[in-house]
Amino acid sequence: MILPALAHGYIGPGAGFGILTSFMVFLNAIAVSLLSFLFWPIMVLIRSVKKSKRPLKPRCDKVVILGLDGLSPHLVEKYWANGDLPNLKKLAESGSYHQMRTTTPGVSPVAWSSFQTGVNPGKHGIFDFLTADRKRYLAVLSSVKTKTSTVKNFLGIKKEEVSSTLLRMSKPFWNLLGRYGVRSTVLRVPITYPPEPLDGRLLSGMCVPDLRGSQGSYTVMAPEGSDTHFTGGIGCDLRQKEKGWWAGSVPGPEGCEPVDVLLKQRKSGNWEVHSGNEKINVETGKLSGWLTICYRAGRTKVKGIARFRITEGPVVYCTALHVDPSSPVVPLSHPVHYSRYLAGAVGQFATLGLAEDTWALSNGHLDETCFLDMAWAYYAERRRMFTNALTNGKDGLTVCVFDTSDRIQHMFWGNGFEPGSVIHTMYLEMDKLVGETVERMKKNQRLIVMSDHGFTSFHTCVDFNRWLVNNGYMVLEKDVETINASYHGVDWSQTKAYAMGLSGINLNIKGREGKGIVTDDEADSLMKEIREKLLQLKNGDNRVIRSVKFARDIYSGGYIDRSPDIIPGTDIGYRADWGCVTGCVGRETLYPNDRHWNGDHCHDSDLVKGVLFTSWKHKSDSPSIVDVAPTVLSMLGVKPPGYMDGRTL
Amino acid sequence: MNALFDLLLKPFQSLNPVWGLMWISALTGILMILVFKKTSNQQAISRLRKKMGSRALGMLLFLESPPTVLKLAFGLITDNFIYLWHLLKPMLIITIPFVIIASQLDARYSRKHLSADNPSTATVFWENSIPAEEFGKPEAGILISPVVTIADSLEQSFSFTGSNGVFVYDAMGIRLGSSGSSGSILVRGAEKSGIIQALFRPWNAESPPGVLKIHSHIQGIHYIILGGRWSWFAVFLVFSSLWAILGAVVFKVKV
Repeated sequence: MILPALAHGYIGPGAGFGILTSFMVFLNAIAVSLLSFLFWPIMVLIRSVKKSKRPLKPRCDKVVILGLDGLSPHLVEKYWANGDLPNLKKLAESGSYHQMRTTTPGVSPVAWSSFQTGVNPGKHGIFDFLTADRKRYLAVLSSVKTKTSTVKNFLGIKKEEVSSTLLRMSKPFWNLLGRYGVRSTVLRVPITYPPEPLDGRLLSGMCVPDLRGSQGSYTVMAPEGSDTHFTGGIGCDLRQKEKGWWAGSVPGPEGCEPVDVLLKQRKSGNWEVHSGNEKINVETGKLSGWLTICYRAGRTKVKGIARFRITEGPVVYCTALHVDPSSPVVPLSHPVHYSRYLAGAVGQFATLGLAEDTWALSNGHLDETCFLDMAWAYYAERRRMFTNALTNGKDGLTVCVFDTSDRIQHMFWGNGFEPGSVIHTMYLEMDKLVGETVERMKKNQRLIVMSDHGFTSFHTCVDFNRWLVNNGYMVLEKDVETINASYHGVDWSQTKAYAMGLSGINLNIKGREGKGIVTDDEADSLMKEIREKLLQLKNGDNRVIRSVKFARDIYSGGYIDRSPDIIPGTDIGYRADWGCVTGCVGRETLYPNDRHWNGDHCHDSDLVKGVLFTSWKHKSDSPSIVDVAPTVLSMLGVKPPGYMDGRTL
Repeated sequence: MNALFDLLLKPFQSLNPVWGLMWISALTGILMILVFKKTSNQQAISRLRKKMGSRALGMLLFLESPPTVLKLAFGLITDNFIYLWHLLKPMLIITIPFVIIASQLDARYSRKHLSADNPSTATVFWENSIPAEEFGKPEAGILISPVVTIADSLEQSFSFTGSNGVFVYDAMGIRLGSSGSSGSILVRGAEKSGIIQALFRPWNAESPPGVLKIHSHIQGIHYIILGGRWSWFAVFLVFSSLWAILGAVVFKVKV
């Protein structure tokens, strides 16, 4: 024998560990399987007892909700007329199809919050993407509050900790299902960040931040590029090193040093991008796969993932730094390791709330093809997750929201809808997804396909703050003509109203606002006066404002005070301008929207109804988005609580 | 190879042998982990590890559904085979240097120094015939039992003790033992020279004319570390592993 007598059990470090680990894996697999079989009867028993307490007789074993954000009923019906979308047609014929009333305003955070709680915005407290910090006249994110606090660990060492709180009030209907032992899998439903505990699994959607704490901030690196900040991103210098290598720094979270990424051009002309120990190949002009980038905050590792695109120059585009789902620095899911499970099961995936980089396309750092590649790549990731969820649970609730439909319509509405157009192709793809989902459905399972709102064009911007200035409701300080940020230059001592967010005008109420001047007695007549004048706003002969609603008339519940006082509903083609959303004042009330973002749904909510397909027939002619929650609860045997505004379909 | 190891161990010649053994173990641990990094598909291992981790988590997540757990367990075991497949190439490559190093350490650290209070036995296998003449006394060391001859198999055996670390019996062509310095090769046999002998059995010297091979049985040695009795192989296993773990962390090797 060649080996020394004692060496027979040892292969060498490295491979030796491998063999050892591999035995551990076997042991683990067998142990957990046994554990599962041991606990299964107990769990089944507990669950059965809980389920037996359901007050209603369940009408099915499982409900699947497929959310297609922004799918427009007008386009669905138009394509049906051409003979397209056969799967949706079939679903409508075998079950039902209706245009579905959305919330006021018809924007995703509001509509999806009403979807999950079954209540009007006055009860869940989300009225827009942004809400007003009335004391400071600042626009803040409406759904999440982030605060930094100093905490002591068990050794008494002080440490800064960032924590987030979900501001959406009321209860999602899957929490009610959980009380009766009905499990749920909830994937990427907007306004679920930070994730709340539930009986099941949840992956957060819209409002998950990137590593920089923003809602999506990309990086562009170019030779002799300066360190600049622009809307949606950061510009950085790309330095040439020896032998065809380039280096650029990607700024990360606050308090962390930027991380260098190294680039090397291969003989083929394509690139390798290196970061730490990780490497990825990038085809010139194409979007790469995910690369892990690791930052250090003291001894803590903060891991993010990003995709790259390199064009001639070289000019390097790096997507926003998504939180790494395999090693999340903020909670992305419930339970926390669900995102880790998904990352292993379906591959790395985009975690940022608004993952598709619309700013990069608007700013010209991405072309249309690359933007679409990105959108479809994220769609493919979502689809794999959805399939995984459908495969791994035969009862309960599965909800998955796809954003692709919304982003593509926002960015390509102006390109038309004819066969072969980007939007037409997207609708066909969504139809295919519906077809595949229907095929996976089993007997005694129900399917709901829905969108939170529809879509129309956005060709003209309406600067509500300029309109308020022109009509004397907002007064600017002396010599101030325009405002570029957060009402800096507004004379609050004479201002009666200000616009904030995509669809809201607030009165400057005394005692409520930081420098309010309008008394409660004056408020009513002032609101009516503003409504009358807004309804007269014209663009040539065209009406601009279709409706003006008052919060007190359309909302009910304990959180109306978070709402703007007046909600103007713009007509097709008109939307609040980009600046007035965050407190800017421009020169003109109406001006053309020249951005790539040319489709929208922040209009009068009657113009942007969503779609509702159900795999069973129901009698309601005019379903609303708040009806989905009570309907699903009833389907699964749970009595909808009285506070819900929706009714069972 | 002997010269290389002599050079590597030179600084430890005057120290307790365990220091030289630990030094080589550390060096081996680091080198092997680097070889592993170089010869394995690190990206594939990393991906697979993530996937396996995910399946293990999945089993806990879906504990209430035995079919899902079984499916995930099956996937985990399948991935495990793929993982072993990924280990095969580096394992095969590592085996050769590993055996060479282990042989060198076996030759240097596995046996007790030859001395008067450490009796050993030796067997000489003759090539064609056993010489008829009497052999007399050994040049170094003492014969403590008469030479026993088995004519049929051309073998002669005896027991002996060494003197100053060696046993020399020129009449039979036997030179066993070591120079006495810490970490030097302790010769404990002889065989026909060749590459296999040189690389994998450095404890054997070249057989003298007429002798096919010589085997000896010299008592093994144990090292006292942390109050325990450790064989040379245990020291090697533990210390090379510890250094390999350290190396894996420092050089970011996915194992």
